[in-house]
Amino acid sequence: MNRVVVTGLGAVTAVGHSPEQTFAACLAARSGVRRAPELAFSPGIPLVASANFDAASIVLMRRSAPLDRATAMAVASVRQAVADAGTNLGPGSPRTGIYWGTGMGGAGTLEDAYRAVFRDDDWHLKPTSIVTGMNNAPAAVISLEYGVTGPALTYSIACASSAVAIGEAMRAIRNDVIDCAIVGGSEALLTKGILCAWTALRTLAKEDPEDPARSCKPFSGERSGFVLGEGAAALVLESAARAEHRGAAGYAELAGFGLTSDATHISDPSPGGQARAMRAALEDAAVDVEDVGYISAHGTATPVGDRVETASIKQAFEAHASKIAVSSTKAVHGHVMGATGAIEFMIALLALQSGSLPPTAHLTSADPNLDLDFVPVHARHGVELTAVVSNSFGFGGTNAVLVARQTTPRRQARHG
Amino acid sequence: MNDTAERVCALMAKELQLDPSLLRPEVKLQDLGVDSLSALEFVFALEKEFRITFDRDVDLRGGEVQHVIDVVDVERSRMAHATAG
Repeated sequence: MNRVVVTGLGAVTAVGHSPEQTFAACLAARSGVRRAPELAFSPGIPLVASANFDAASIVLMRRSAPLDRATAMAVASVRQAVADAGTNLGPGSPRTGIYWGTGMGGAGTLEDAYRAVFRDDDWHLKPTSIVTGMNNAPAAVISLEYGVTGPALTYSIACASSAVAIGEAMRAIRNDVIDCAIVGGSEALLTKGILCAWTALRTLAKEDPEDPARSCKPFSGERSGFVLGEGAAALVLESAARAEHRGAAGYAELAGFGLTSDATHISDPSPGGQARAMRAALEDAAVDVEDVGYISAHGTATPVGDRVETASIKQAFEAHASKIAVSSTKAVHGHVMGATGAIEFMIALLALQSGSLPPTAHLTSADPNLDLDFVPVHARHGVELTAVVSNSFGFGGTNAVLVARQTTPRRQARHG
Repeated sequence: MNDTAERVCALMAKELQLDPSLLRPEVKLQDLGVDSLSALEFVFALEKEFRITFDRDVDLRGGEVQHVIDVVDVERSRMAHATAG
């Protein structure tokens, strides 16, 4: 069975246009959350974690259909990751695959089309609306851009989308289906219609009266939900043999993947299903619970979500749970839905590599019922880590857990 | 004076990202590298520009630049007669 290493990273988020900038913001607990008057609808002004990103700035090497914002961010993050990996992927790379996650794909393109039809009675939609807005547009465009001729797959599993994509690519490399993969996720759903729908679900954070940027408060006694974000993260995965052959030092080994379904409720999480996923990932990685020093939590800051995740970590790690640093970075970059698993796994990798743990931002008021080490407010540095875990749990009851482990030699730490 | 040729060529250059000097009347669109999706986008752009509606089977890609100008002219006259009528 092939071991799998991560050799390239790329990101576009609300707090930076690179992995380094994003990680630095997480370490500093510097939130990208803001009020968005341009997206206001009758209930009020929504909060968003939007990326300062001009989709029109992305010009493809090969002509394609116009790019939805989610696809443009995907391309931007992949370009960084491929350059970072320094590997030649094409043209015509049948042993390379693309495994991409997105929850709502071309949400903006579809909303524009619906607005034209239903509000403006304009039935002359662009002929490219379908191919621009389809969920697999990011994977398809990446395939075209790099001439990748192996599988180009799209996973749409709500908030677990990109974590599942990464895990499935790991399995494909392990099983010798491919030996290199461009993986990750992108999401661009900050549209009026989608914000309105999320508001109706009552899972979004209430605005902090003093500072809107502090509205999302994972694991806090004052938590009220998350803020929708947008962005993308991309990783290059390679078989260890391929990376060694070309002399590439990896960030870490992608060592384990656990995937379970709750089969209990469409939206309520289950500690049992989450704990089973964590245990399965550790077993897959052959990592002992004592080797895990950091968990990048799903940590959505909803009252029920954080309570259940705390319980599931205790169930999975038993007595060792209290010794693990656990933090959620969603307060900083927002909940990026289909891309969030890739963004947070990237952050966990940078923590593993650098020994610096991102804190849970805005955690100044503890919830007495949540009693793990949530790394409140301030980053920790100089931490020796052997392995890290990244949790992603999605509506529909999907629980995806990734485990990364140190490799030798270690790649130089990146600085933000 | 009929401005169709000038407007079609300007739109063709813009929408299909083509060098205007290549848009000679006898050149076929497919020989300029216009693919099927681009041709559809161009049909869409022509319909908006001239407020006309082509038959769904219209094939501009296989025709020459002059052919595009001609079919737009035909549609413009048809629409003008329909409006007058």
